[in-house]
Amino acid sequence: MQFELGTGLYLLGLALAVGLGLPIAVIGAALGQGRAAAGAMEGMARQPEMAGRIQTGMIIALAFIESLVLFSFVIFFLLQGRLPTIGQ
Amino acid sequence: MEEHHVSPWVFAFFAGIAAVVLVIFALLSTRNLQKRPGRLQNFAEAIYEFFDNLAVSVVGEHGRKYVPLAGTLFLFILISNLMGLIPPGLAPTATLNTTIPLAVIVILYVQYESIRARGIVGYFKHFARWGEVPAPISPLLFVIEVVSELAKPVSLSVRLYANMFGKEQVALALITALAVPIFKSAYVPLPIQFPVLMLGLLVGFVQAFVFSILTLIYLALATEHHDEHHGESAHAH
Repeated sequence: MQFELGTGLYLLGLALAVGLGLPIAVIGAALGQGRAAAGAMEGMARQPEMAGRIQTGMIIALAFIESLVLFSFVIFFLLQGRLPTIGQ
Repeated sequence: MEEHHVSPWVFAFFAGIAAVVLVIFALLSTRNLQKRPGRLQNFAEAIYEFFDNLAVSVVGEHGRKYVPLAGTLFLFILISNLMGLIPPGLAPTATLNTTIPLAVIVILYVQYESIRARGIVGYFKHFARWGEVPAPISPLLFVIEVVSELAKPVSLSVRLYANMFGKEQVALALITALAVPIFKSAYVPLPIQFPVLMLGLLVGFVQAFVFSILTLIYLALATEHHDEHHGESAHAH
């Protein structure tokens, strides 16, 4: 199978983006969520009577962080659809 | 967008089922109201009370009137999400055709409430943070605030959609990657996707809750008065 250089570079970039984009996003979000959860747990340990409110706030914060990963997940599916199959 | 290979009407059909389930539940639980509630009425009251407390804690005392909106959104999205876990069903929330209208309804209502709380001039002043920041910065802030207001429905709808769609895709990937090569069929009763579906149960609850609490937070931001204190709801984007 022969490719032009431009096509090859395009496919290389596409493959790298599909393969690495989501993991990078997940690494960042996992670190962020870990910090958020750790902070919330600390707050709950210090003030158990505020646990309910802290938990609500934590869930919201986690959802915001999570949504960034999900954006990249949607992009991942967009890009994956453009990858050629072996036959092509 | 990599969409499902089924007609959008299938999703509309399941969304309709979710709505019908909700209506039947509401009718049954309020048909015979009593001082000492029965099982169904008790359940409905518990849900309502939960959202009542939530609305008051997030929005403040005037947040009581938003309970029906937030509660209905939660129940509808929850039923929709859980419908995807029952074999012949599909989650209507796993398509943007369902989530975008929900988010647009929410955001239009937020604008309406904001205008009602502040007046049309105050509405635009709020976008520019007029009086809160030095006057030269206001036009810049106006642009930023408008963009962030427009980003709200996008993030609201894409978050819900991507969660449900992603769960289905991961389950599908597990089935096609493991069950199909081994058994030459996607219909063998081998529950490889079982952990994903358990996760889907959790995600379905959390996302429904997040959607409705974000609705309440947006309403709180849109209708807040300066004398009131909003600790946890500030700066939520």
